[in-house]
This record gives sequence, C-alpha cells and structure tokens, in this order.
Amino acid sequence: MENLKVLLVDDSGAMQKMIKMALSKIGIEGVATALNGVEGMENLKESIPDLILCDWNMPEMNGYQFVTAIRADSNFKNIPILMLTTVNTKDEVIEIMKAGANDFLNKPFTPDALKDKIIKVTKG
Amino acid sequence: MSTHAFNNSESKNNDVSLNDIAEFLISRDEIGSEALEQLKEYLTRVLEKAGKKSPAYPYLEAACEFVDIAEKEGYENLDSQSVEVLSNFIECAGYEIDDDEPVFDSSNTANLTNSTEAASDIDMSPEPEPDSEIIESNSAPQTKTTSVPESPEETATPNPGTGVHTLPDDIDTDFLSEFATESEEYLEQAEASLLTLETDPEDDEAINSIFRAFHTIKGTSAFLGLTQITELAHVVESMLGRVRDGSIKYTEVYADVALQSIDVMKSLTEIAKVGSPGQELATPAGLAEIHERLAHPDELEADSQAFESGAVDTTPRLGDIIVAENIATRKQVEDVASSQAEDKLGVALVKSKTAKAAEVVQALRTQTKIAGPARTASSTLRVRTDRLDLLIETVGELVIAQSMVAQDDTVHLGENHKLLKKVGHSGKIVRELQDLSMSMRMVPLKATFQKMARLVRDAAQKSGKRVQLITQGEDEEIDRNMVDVISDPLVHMVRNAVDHGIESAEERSKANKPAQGTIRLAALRSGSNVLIKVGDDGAGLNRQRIVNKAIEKGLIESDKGMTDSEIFELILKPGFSTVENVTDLSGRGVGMDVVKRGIDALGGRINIASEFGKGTEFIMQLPLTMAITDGMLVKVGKELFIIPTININRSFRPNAEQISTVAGRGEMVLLHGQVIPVYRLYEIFSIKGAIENMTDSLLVIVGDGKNPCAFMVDELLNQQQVVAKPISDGLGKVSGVSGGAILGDGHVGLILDTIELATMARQSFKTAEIKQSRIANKGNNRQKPVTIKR
Repeated sequence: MENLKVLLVDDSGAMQKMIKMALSKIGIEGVATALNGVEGMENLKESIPDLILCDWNMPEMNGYQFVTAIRADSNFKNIPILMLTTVNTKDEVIEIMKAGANDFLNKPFTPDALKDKIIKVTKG
Repeated sequence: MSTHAFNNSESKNNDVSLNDIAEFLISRDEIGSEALEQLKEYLTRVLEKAGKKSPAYPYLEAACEFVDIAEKEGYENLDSQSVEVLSNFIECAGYEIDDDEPVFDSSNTANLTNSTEAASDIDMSPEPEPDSEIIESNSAPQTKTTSVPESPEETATPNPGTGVHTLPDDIDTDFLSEFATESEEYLEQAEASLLTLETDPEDDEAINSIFRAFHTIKGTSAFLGLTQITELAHVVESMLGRVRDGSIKYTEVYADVALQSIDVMKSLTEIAKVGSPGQELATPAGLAEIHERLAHPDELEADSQAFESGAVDTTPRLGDIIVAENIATRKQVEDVASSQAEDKLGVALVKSKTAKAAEVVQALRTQTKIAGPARTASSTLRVRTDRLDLLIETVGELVIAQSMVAQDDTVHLGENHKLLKKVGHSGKIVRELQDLSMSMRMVPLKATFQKMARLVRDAAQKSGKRVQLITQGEDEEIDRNMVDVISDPLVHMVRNAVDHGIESAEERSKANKPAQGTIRLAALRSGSNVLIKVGDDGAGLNRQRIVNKAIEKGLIESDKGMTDSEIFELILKPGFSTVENVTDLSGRGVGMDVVKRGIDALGGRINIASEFGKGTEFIMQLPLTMAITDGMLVKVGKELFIIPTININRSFRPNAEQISTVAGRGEMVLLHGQVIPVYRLYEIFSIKGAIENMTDSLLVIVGDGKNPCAFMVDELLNQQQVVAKPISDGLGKVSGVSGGAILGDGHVGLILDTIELATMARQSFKTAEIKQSRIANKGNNRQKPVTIKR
C-alpha cells in the first residue's frame, strides 16, 4: 500500500493538494499529478502507475473521455481507476461505471474512506 | 469459467436477491457463456420485480444493458474488468434497497403477487405507499462506506440560507486561501461564460464551464467544511445541470439567477477567506433569496417561459455592427438590406459598394467573437506580483547600469573595439531581458472588458434601457499594474454612457434610432501606447448646456474662441455635472473628474469626440506600462529634459520666414501650411544661458494632429529608454513634469508632460496677455515662470 504509485488527475490545484494530504495520511507519497485528461495521458506514456485517482468534471479532456481512452489502450487497460466525484444522480454513477472506472468515491471523503476504496480497487 | 449455478436461489421460489447475484459475481473472476446466460436471466427477473419506480431500477437496468451488449458483441467470456463493473452496479443497487429483501416496489406489487399466484397470502392493500417508504428509509446510506448520492431535494437542509455557520476549527488556512483564490478564478471564468451565453445560449462549452466552476467549488468547499458554500454550489449546480442536459431551456431568467449566485458565492468566499478557524461566518445579502428562488424551479421555469415569449435574439446583427463601426450609416444599411433581399446582407453591402469587403469581414469577425470567443488554455505558473515587480524593477536598474557602462568614456571613446562590441552585445541581451520581463506583467484587457459587459447589462436593466455592448481588441495587453487603475475610469465612462449617453427607448424611436443602444468598447495598440475607446450611439454632448453650466460654475467667462473639444473637456473638471437627476448609477457631480485624475496619474490622456444627437466617444490614451518610457533627451541651457518619444511628431530648425507673431495667440511657426504655437522651454522653466534666438534653436513639435505645439530647445542629444520614477514624494506635484529618470551618465533628467506643459504655457500666456500688451513688451519675460505647487 505504501509503495503504490498513484496518478492524480484533477483540474483544481487546491483539490490536488488536499487529496495529496489525504494520501500522505494513509502512507502514500508517490503521487504524480495532472490537470486534465490530456495531461494525464501524457503522464501515462512516461510511467504506468499502480492506481489512477481521477476527477470526473475537468476541462480539455474530462473524466469520461480520460477513462474511455485508458480502457481503449491495451497498455493501460488494467490500471485500476478510482473516480473522485461529486455526482448528483444515479445516471452519473452509471456513466462512470460504464466508462470503465473500477469504483468511485464521493467528495468530500475521509482518508480512511479513501484507504478502503484504494484497498478495494487495487485488491490489496 | 466455473458453472456455479443458481441452485440455491431457484429453490427459493424465484426470490432472487441482489445478494445472490453479488455472491455469484464475487465468486468468479470471469464468466463463461453459460454463466452469462444465467446471469442475464436473473438480472432480468430482478429488474422486472423491481419495477421502474424502484430506486435501484437504473442500476439494474444498466447491468442488464451491460450484459446485453456483452452478448451482442459475442463475448465468450466476461473478463474480470467487466465482472467488476457489473458488481459495481449490483452494489449500487444494493445500497438503494435492503439487500435481503426480494427486489420489488409498490407499483407492481399487484402484478408480482398475481404472477406468482400467491394472492391469497398477500393483503391486497389499495395503498401500497407505506411499503415503499420503508424501503426508502432502509436504504439510507449511513452505514455504508460509499454514500450513493441522493437527489438534491433530499440533501438540501430545510433552510439552507439561514442558520449559523462557522469556519471549522481545524480548517487549514493555507488551503482556505488557495481555495478562495481558485474559486475567484473559477467564478470569473463562469461570469465570462455567462456573458457568452447572453449572445449564444446554445454554447455548450460555456454552460459546461459555468457548471464546472460550481462543481469544483462544491467539491473543494466540502473538503474544507464550508457548508454554506457547498450548499449554494450544490443548488446552483443542480440548476445548471438541468440546463446542460437540456431538460430546461436557458433563458435570461436563469442567467440572472446564475449571475446573482456568482455574486453571492463571491461574497461567501470573501467572508470565509478572512475568517479564522472556529469563527462564526456572516451570511451575505441575497443568499436566502437565491436559495428561495432555486428551491422553486417550477416558478423559475414559468418566469422563464413568460420571458421567452417576449425575448429577442441577442446576437448583434451584422448591420448593427457595421453601423456601430461607422462603416456606413444605418439608413444606408437598411436601404441595402431592403433592396437586395436575396443576397446575404454582407454580400449585398459589398455589391452595393456601401462597405468594403475587408470591413464586412472585420464586422463578421466581431460578430463571431461576440457569438463565441475561442478559448485557449495555456500552461501557466502563478508568481507573486511583488516578486514580479521586484524583478522588473531590478531589470530596469540593470538597463540603467548597462547603459552607464556603455556610455562610459573609456568604452565609447576608447580604442578598444573588442570591448565596445562586447558591451554592445550585453546591451542587446539586457534589452531583450527587459522586454521579456515587461511582457510577464502584461495581461490581456479581456477580463477588464468582461467586467464592463456585466456592468452594461446591470446598468441597462436598472435604467430600463436596451443596450448592447460591442467589444473589440480585448486581446490587447497592458501592464498588470495598470489594470486596476484603469478599471475605475472605465467603470465611470461606461456607466455614464448607459445612464446619460444612451437615451430612453421612446426618445430613440423619436430620433429614428433603433430602440437598442450600442456601446462600443475598443482597445487598440498605437506604438507604446494603448488606446481605449468608449463610444455610444446616444444623444451626444450638448455644447450649449455645457457652456451654460461652465459659466454658471465660473469655470469659463464665455465660450468665445473655444473649440468643441475644449468645451467638451470642461466636463472633466471637478464638480462639473450637467445632469439634474442624481441616479443610483451616476450623476453625482463626481465621475468624469475621477476619470481624468485616474488617467492623469497613469501618464495618459483623454479626448472627447461628440456629435449632438449621434453619440459620444471617449478616447483614453494610456502607456502600456508605467515602468519604462522611450524618451528623447533634450538640452536647454545646462538642463536636461526627456520628452517622451511617443509625443514627438518631428523636430526642425526654423528659418526666419517661418516665424511670426499672431495677435492674441503669441509666437507661431509655419510648418507645411499649419500655424503652430511656439513655447520657449527656457522661459517656462526660467533657465538662464539657453539659446534665445529661435533660428539658432531647435523646435520639437509635440501633440496630436489636431492641436500641435512646438517647444523650443537648444539641441537634441539622443534617444533612450528611461525608467520613469515619480518625483512627487516630498515635492508635491510638479506641473509640466511627469517624473524623473536617472540618465546613463548618472545625472537626473526630468520627464516632460508635454500635454500639461502646453496647456500651462497657453494659460500663462493668456494671463500675461491680459496684464500687459504682449506685443509692446516683446522680448521681455512674458510668461510666468513655473512654480512648484505644494
């Protein structure tokens, strides 16, 4: 768990910092960041993380497009993706699942909740 | 792979529970075709039982759909990824209902009981609602790690606009301030997008960007525990979400609500930003109102429909832009439009030679720009302004230090050419560095113009006028430090234009003008200056009224010999206001003098052009930056002055025939058929030992094409960039001088404010003339020396 390499994709700098803090509280320090899907894809080409934490609503390339792009690429297909969202409706949840995210976590969350989800999607 | 059949479930009279399906899924990584078949059957059964009204229905439906697709695509097996997705759907469905209960909802209880032929055992209650309520309450997610979102109505607190809110005790103030800064940026973007929507309500990206602003604020504020902000963001987001997915049509009513929400949101962030942990937060005005309005979407919808019936297309028509640009008169455009109906207006205009193709293209671009500006995001790094200022200041000093080296006698008089070359090279780099550092502080006028768009909209609504704003050149850049300073003058001018410039709709129709007024805000670059024009097609300035008022206020004795532009400039004097009604917007007798003072402070100037009945245009000329001036170094006696190069038209040595003295106007020089007044700098500044014979001196012509004047100097030394420093500290304002600069050789030179100097010279000449007959005393010191006012 501590050695997980995480790619965090979120367009808000403040949010990135808070999530990083939450991750560091559960012992995860290896965090790369990207501001949107486009940057995220660039990042993936350089190194493959053990887990992607991704915001749903982003400019340029949003969460849906990002996840779809990842799942369409055989190199990245199996990277667990945990969507960090503030979804309102079931339709949105369904959309997220259909896109191929492994799970989602609604903001705001506690470090513990994040830990549980990470354990779940990374299967340990 | 393994065929773990639903034997258990089947034995239970078709009562398949979600748990059974979940277990089935968990127990395997992959599902073979056989198992898929079974899974599908059970899912279908569960879905049918659940009925459309069940909260779990959407998830189950999605799961079925998923399996359907897998089957159609001919997947032999479902891989682990897909199994996981399916499990997720089932899990979500599970949160909606009690896991162990068979899945059904009240609406088809009767069907279910009939079909299973167990009617005799079940009470056929005509009111099955209580059942559904129990299911609902059981589904409360508090015991789950994942809280499945509920509909907005469920999560909103009864009175979200009221109640006491405090900043959480453990709030991280660093995050808080970052959140506040970021939110402000998002809100500004949202404002800009809202204005785009004004002209193009269909612009999806604009709606998305507003939605995203509130969405992100909601997420971040929730982390920080800023409940007031989260609640507001949530309700606004819900409204916007309905606009985005097309379930409600975007109209001005929603725009107003959104704008109001942005304002309130700004206040909320502002309040939170300055608060300390645990402190009680004030409730900004309008918060309760917004919640109230958003709590009743039906009423909004009704308002919106009522509005829509009377709505007009808000995109300015091409013809309007052509007229606003002064390419053609409205009548010409209308004539063309009516006579050549089969062509598009643009084509017709060009065919009839009313407008040039290039002008039409330009106008079309303006229209497109208004309709939907292309948004480009570039990668940026935020730097603190004080550091940037320090950098620019240091580079400024470096420029001076470098030019001190370059101008040192050992370098430029010496024989060492290699050294000269090296110094020259370093000079080039220093200048590049200077340009680069300056450009870092340059920001586009876009944000400033957008604020004006908002202002026009609000002011027009308040005064009940219909006004459209056309902006041009919003990509022009100016020094960041100038933005704040020009903002106030602009606000005044734009407000004035709406409030006093544009007439009421009745007056406009009487004057044969379109009911909707046009305000044109344009920026264009001219050398190292930027021109900002604020024009309206309103009533124009009334010369006689201004003259009367000015006489009444004792500003002038009569308007004899005064040009229109001199009269118009009177409205820039402190305390001058011709408006009888003081309104909420403007007309308090302060305003235009604030504008003038603001622009003066920047070393800019303002011109007013106006035609009675047609409109008014204010033209501000501003330097791009206050930090560096391109100057011509001139010598008068032993004194050195710098005249900003931007102000200089030409310089020449006059011959005797060109010089004349005109009664009542003083010394003049004739240049290309134009008679230009001459002022002797040595007289203005009381300098001894300067050249007094005009034919031996040099005349520097300054000023624009309309009002040029000549300053007499001994010689021109060289042109150089100087870092302008204010000299007002301790000395007060020195008339005719805009600042000082350290020259290459370490001396100090005064930078002349040629406009002010010309005005001063003209006035002091007039005063002198009244006192004594000027011609009789020619050659005497006829002008009052400039004194430093404290």
